[in-house]
Amino acid sequence: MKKNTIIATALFGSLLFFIIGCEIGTNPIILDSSISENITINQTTVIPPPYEVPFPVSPLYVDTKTLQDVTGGNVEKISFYNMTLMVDNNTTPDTGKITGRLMANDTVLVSITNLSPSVFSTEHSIFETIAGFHLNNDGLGIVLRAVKNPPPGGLKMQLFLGPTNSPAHFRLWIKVYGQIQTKAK
Amino acid sequence: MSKIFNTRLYGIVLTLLAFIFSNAQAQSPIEDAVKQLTSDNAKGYLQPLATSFGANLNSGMYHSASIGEMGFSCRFDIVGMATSIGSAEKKYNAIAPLPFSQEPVETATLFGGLGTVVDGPVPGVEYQFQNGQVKTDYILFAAPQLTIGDVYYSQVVIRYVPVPKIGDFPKTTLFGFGARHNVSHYFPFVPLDVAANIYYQTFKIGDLLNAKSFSFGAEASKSFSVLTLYGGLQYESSSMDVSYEYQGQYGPSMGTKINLSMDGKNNFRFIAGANINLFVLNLFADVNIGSMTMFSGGIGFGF
Repeated sequence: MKKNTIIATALFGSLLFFIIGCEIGTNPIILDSSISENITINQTTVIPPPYEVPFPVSPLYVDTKTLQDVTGGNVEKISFYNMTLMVDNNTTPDTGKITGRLMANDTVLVSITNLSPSVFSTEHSIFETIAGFHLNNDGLGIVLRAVKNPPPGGLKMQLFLGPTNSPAHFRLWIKVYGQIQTKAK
Repeated sequence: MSKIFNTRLYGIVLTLLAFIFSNAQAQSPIEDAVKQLTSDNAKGYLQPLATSFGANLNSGMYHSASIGEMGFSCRFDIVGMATSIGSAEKKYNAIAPLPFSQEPVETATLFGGLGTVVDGPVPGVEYQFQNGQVKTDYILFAAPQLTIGDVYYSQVVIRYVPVPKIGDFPKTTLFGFGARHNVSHYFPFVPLDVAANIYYQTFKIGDLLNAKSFSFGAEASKSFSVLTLYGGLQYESSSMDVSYEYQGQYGPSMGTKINLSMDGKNNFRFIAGANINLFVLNLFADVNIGSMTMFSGGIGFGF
């Protein structure tokens, strides 16, 4: 205690660093957050038209509430700003082309027509312009609402694959980006 | 009692040193805000802090140009400095992450208001830049200063404060060294005292922050009984290096250690001030005009 007193006295007596007359932390802090889920596609045969195969068989539920974990619960506002797709573990033949629909709560989010999975070997935003790739605004609206108001069971997502011209083996990563504003002090 | 004292001391110093980025016991909002920024955006966001801190370091070095040929003079000052934070210091140009437009957008610095909101590629999708976190009109600083002379019309100026590691608060050191030389004695017809000066300072907080400043210039003064009026012109430079662990979602991987180096924007100033000599007690204040407006003042003891 005595040593600390001396140090403190020396600190404040000889060197005063302060920002006085100012307010710190008056505006909310904006934290970027993301959640990532994946769907594994192991289709060993060609899917002829007009057939489709769901992946996963039972829909995936994305818990959008976990976006708020960055704040420890101190949330003022949540907003969506991006969603990306990325493929890895891709052993689909190079000439393989796939057609399909990624669904959000049973509404088409993106539709893919005759695309090679390798197009998404690097992360791409769903807002990018890619030949054979189409974003559906109705599905996007569902994702936006799920981020702002997380549904209790999570956001239901499922990929319907078909037709294809070859077997398809890859893992599709779906990543949702949000901004969380903390409560100002 | 000791634990409470340490906690309070730490809390005060952490609040005071709002630009520390560390594994502190209490996360500061400034630290949380900066950790979300890529290096380019963080530079713009923090630039006014680097500039104002450097400007403060380069303030308050002298209060008279009168230096004797030979004799003993010793003066201990507590110098307070203040740099104004104007509207120019509250905004900078930042770039939003993809898929948003990569055109620079004017938004809030650390000292600004709310961050700008940019529209996304479709209605309903938007991105908001980081909000400002410090609301203030001035950045204040203070330091002890020892001036010793006179040897052949010269004096040395020292600023030195070593603060040991206290709990989780890292070792902090302020060190400054300068010299002043009276040149008017070469020109007896000059009715003023005129001196030249040069200073160098460093300020370190552990491995987290390293600030440096350098200045040189000329000063002139005239005494009227107990009152001395002084002024000067000064060229200066400053830099601030900070480190933080990136916690954002675009750009580098989360957890990447980012090292920033920022140069202060103030390179030149004009100084005008007054010192009142009450035997061994001196009171002084001056105004400094450069790219920002700065003030210094304080109290000194000595002769």
